Amino acid sequence: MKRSTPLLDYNLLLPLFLLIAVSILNLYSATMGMQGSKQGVSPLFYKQLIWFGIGTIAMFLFAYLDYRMWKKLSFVLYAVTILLILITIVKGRTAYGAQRWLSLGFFSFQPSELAKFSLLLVLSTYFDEHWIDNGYSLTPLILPILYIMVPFVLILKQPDLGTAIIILLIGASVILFAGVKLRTFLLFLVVFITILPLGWHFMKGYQKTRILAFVDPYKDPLGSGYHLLQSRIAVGSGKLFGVGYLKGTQSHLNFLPESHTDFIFSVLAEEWGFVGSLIVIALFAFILFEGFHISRYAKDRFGVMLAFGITLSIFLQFFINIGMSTGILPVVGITLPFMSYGGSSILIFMVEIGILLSIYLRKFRFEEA
Amino acid sequence: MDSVKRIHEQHLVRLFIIYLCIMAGFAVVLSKAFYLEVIKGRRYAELARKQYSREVTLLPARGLIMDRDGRILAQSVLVDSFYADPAKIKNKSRTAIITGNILKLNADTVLKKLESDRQFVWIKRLVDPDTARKLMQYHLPGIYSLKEYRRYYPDLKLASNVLGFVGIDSNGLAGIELSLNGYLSGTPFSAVIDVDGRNSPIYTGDLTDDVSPSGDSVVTTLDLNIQFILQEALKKAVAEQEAKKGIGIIMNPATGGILAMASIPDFNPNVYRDYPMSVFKDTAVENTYEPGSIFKPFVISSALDAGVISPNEKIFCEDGHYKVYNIVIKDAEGDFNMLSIGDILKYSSNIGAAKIGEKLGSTSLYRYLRQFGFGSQTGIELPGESPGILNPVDKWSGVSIDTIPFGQGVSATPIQLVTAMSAIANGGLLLAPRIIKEIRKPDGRVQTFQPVIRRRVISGHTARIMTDMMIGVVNDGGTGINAAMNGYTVAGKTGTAQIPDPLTGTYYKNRFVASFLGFVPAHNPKIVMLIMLVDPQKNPYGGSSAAPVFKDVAEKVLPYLGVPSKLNIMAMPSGEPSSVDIEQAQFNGITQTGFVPDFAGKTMRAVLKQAKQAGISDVVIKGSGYAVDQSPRSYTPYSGGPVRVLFSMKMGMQGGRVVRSGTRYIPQAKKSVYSGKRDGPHSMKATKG
Repeated sequence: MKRSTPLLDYNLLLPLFLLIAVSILNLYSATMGMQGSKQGVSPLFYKQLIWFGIGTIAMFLFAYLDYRMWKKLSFVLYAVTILLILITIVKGRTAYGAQRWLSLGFFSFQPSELAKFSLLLVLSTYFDEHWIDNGYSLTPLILPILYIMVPFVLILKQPDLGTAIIILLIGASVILFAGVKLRTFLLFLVVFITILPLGWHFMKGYQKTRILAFVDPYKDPLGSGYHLLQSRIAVGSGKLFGVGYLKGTQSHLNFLPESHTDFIFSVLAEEWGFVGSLIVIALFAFILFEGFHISRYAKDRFGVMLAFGITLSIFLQFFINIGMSTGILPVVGITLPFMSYGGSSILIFMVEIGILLSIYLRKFRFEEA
Repeated sequence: MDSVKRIHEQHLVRLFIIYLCIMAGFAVVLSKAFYLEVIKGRRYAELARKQYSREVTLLPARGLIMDRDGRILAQSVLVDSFYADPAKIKNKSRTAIITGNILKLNADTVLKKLESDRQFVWIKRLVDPDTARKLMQYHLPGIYSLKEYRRYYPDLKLASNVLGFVGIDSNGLAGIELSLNGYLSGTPFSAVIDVDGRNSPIYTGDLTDDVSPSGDSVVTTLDLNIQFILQEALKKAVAEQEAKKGIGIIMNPATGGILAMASIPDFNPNVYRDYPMSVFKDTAVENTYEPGSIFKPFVISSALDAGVISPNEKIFCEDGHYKVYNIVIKDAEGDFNMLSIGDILKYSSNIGAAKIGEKLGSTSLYRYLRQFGFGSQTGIELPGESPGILNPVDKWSGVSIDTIPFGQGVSATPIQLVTAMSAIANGGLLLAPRIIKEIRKPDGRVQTFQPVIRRRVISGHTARIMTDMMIGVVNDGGTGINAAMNGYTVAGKTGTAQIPDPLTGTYYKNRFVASFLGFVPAHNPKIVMLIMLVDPQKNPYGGSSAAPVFKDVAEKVLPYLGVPSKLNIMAMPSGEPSSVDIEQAQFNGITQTGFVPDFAGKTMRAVLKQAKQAGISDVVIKGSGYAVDQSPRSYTPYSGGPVRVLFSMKMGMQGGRVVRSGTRYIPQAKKSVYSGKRDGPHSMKATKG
């Protein structure tokens, strides 16, 4: 069964580039008139365009490089990531009360974004090398759990609860996907349920108020409930067809804070309405199902695990971010992949897409052979 | 290959579960989006609209304050107010240093504001345009400005004590700004404006400038040029005499309109914060003084009017020592034996005045002084007016009837004194003093404030006699000789009042209020003027410190008003009638000896009476109704012979025109007195001519 050699997965690339196009349009609106703007166009918008450019180049580069090279790189990258997070904690740039950025002169880098990626790499490498068919018991999982816990704890320290939770969820999903014995699964469940109240105890004050605000945003509509309510108003006021491009009052009149980062979906929903929201959600769905498709047909365990991990991490951020914007989930600082402003985020997601493409590419070469 | 196949098989189940989870995730997100946007969309859209559009109450632009010819004394202009959004400032210390430097603020104070965790902090409000432009050139992030009205007084200190000033929110705090705040500030109006997340209005264009109606403008009776002449002369006198205070008022006796009113020390209302509170007082209406000898004309005219003394009567002045109860009244100008009533005034005899007071009696004296307006507010449209102190008779001490006649044991505001003197000047009518001429509504309607006659205090005849006596004061040998002018006859009275010491209940030995109160030209007065110097160190006598100021001012003001001088032979036909002339036309002329009275508009009976008073026995009458023409013209010297008066049932313009003498002197001074060039609020320098 000979096939023509498909070089790139257009089922992935087409929705991705449509999404990026929507993202650029939307970001133009969200950053319009912001501080430092010239004729209404914010320098942030141009920065993001450059990042999309760099990201696209990186994506194609890693698509053509063999993804298996990451196996050798994974532990080095993991170690570097941990080191960077430590440096960030010691002397990073503070914003919004947390140290998340590492200034590299020409741009600020967020090592916690990198952490998600390197965690996927080490876990995929580990499960590739220590494959067990019938599900893992606790002992062989100690090392992967350690891999997860180190960045989790460090990022929690920054403090960046949102990213820490994502790290935990990604790690847990990958472990479960690798397969866990029922007994071990139940043990995890029990431990998780016992630790949960403890976690509440260790949470910082503002983190608790955010969760309480999620339960009842009207309790403090101008304080802790403000983001949530304003985002809900932004999304809701879009109605079916939106208030019109560049006409959103919630973002342009500064009612919605952080509209270009965490609440970018609200900007889109306000200006394009339910129709716009539906289109973006559908584009994500195309990308994600194609990602799982790639995982399913990967040629080796590493590819399976990595493709799954990448796709799932995109889904988790997508779900948590939109969930937060629409009021399904409490406010945590999680960006919307490909849509939110942020160089580190865009670059890493584009590299991850590059790896998906690489797995896809080599999968078919494998079948040919 | 097998292992990979196996992976796929094992994972198919898990992948299926994951697919389900993810589908569920999408379903949740989509349905929530659908719920918010489609089902509840209308409600949230309404919430959003409520958030950004707000009905606000805005104050319109404050109205202008103008002088009687429409020259601007106070106006409001839009300027920038700077505020900060501290979260948006990157380099706070640099921002603080730059803004501090430009706005002349302490950099540490600014820095403290910038470190606040609020989203809106005022840095400086109502910044002048040049400074604002300078700061804006830096484009400092986090430093913003919005437009607010700032009050500008283009002539700086001119009439400051009358105009007052406004606070930072354009609320009148003193002077006309306070008393007419209701008119000037206008009616607050509501408008729907867009606000942003920090609740500050979004100025898309100058909303307050275009949409809003403005407050009413106030046209005062003040004349910018006369005010300037008076204020400068007073300032000079206060400095020369090292006086604590100086007060000057010029009133048109025909209308009660105040042409100028000055208090020294004055202040610059543009920067009123730089001055102590004490200078904001409008001393002319708020402070009361024991008037001293300038009170004598009121007492003497009362006695004349009551008929208890006759003009030619002589009074024994006790050779300078008059013991009443426990006090001894002395005369300052010499020890007099017998003095005529006129000489009592001329030499300012306290004993003579006391004896006249005794003749009149306390009840009559009190009644007359009340009639002159003492002891009650004049009702002028300025804040904080004092009624002065004139006790009712039952509270008088045994010597009050002797001391009040020379102005002790009674206190009056400067405005009361001028108003009372106007009654003597205009033939006996007490007018309400006016500082407001018109209120101009933004829609063009004009509310005019007409002269108000309160009552007749003394007869025209008494007023004429009194005028003649006061002319004597300013003649050779009189105390007011320093007020005598070339070309104009001055009537007036000097005053050198002791200042009461509130601690001892007696008078300070060396502290006086030196004053001169009079009018000019004596027989057709255009201005009544009070000059008061409080506690002058150099020369405490009214005749030598205040009277020269009266003269200096009148010498400039009369030519400016176009009042013909006796010296002037280059009389020119008049152009447009000045507002004083027009106001004069509305006024029933004063009967003067030696001049043909003005009969215009009068009934036949009134004409005959007036002619008789003026000593004209031969009146030829033609027609019936009201006097419309006469020959010789009014105010021309009467040299005997018949006076012909034409009457008509129709009172036309001719009647009014008769009043004006056919020629008017146009002084050169008029143009150079005040050539203040104004090209906007920024050039606030006035060229002082």
